Amino acid sequence: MRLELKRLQGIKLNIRFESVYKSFGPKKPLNGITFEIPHGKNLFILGKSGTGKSVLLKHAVGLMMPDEGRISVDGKSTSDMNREEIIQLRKKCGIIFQNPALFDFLNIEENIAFGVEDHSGVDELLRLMDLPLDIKRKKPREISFGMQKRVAIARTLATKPDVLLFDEPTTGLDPTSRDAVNDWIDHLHEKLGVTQVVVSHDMVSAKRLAHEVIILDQGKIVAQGAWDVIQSSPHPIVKDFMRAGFL
Amino acid sequence: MIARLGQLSLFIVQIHRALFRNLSLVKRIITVTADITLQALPTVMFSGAFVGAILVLQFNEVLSQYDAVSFLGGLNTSALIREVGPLIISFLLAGKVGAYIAAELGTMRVTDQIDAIDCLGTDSVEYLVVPRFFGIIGASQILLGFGLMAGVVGSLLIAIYVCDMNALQFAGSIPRFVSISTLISGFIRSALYGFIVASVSCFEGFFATNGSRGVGIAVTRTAIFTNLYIVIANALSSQWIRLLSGDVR
Repeated sequence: MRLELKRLQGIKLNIRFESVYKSFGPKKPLNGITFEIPHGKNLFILGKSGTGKSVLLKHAVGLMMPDEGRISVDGKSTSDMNREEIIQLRKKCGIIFQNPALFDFLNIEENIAFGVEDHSGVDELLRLMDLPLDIKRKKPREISFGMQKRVAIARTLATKPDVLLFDEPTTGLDPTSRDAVNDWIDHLHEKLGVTQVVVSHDMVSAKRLAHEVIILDQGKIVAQGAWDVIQSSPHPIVKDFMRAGFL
Repeated sequence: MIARLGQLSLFIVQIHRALFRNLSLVKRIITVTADITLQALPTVMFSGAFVGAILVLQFNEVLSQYDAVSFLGGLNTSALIREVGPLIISFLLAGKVGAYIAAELGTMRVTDQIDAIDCLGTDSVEYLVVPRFFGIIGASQILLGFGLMAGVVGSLLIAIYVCDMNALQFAGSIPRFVSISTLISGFIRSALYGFIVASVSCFEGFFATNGSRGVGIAVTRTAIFTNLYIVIANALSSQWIRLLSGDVR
């Protein structure tokens, strides 16, 4: 496995949500969502807890299917994809979960190489993520939480995804660690030019990194656009959110 | 409850499809079977010996009233193979292995490890569930073999030291009550109970939700439903196996 960082650049994967609805009993985390993931940009999806942000990410990679509407990837609906196509989609869309989600029965090297056939690119990925090479034989529990997050990113990058999806990458982190994670998101965009979707309720990170922002409330998009557009939005929920986010 | 049974059935179909899609999983199944067997063997052997001992004491008390102690070995071994062995071993398997697997898979689910496996292009059912599912069923057979041996030895020791029998007297009546069909019915039952433990524990763990509380609920449900389904299966299988074998021994 060679990483071939340039392979990640310039690839366009067209992911589009069209009137997507999803409900779990009385809860409606997605209530008619329509948007398209912009190529080569950082898209931030913001909203309070329980507004359907993580559910939305899981729909993008076919971990969940919509009750109504369609999610199309290069024109094909995820609901119509067969098992092999879904596996290919998941490989193209690397997702980094809120938990590092490292496999505790494998060491760091095996974790990073999990989605690929050989281990030859592990050192390169560790260096890319500024991680020491001597952690390769360690188990996830033997390294810090911040390092685990970076290993999770390295594991996702190993599959050479076209789009990176982050699920609340800075939640539960202290300001220093949050800045470090943001630096990595910025670094990945600068270095690889990869399309990134970040689901978060961290306004500070969004202001710093987002090229485009979507604000969700009760499963609906209440505002969408560049940071300046969002900042000047007259929508009361956006105003509340902006105020609370910077307190 | 009915909806959940439906989901469980679909999950079982999914597991079998995953196995037939990738027969190279057999290697991992063998490894997991060995792990589970080793994990549960001491408990099964220890319990088997004591269950055998208890059973022989109970039979001895009844048979001595009718001057039929000479049947002690046969009756005891038959009951052990036919009913008590498979039942006790499946309860132990549910408590020790089923609960462990439900907790393990549940923790992996709530910490997003299962989603991560899927997102890295590996089928999580193939990778995590198939080896554990068939490993439990395989281990239930091996453990029954060892458990029965321990049970017979436990019975024999009590027969010799408490019931004043010798080994030949104890073993003499065994062929009269135990045949190949008795052994087969015991192992069929054990496989059925193993199937129940495997299905319920993998299902509850794999679909756990809501963090650590959800994992706790998954483990509790595994304990309750495996035991419940095993008791129901025991009642039904007793009659079916009797009818199928045409043998009342």
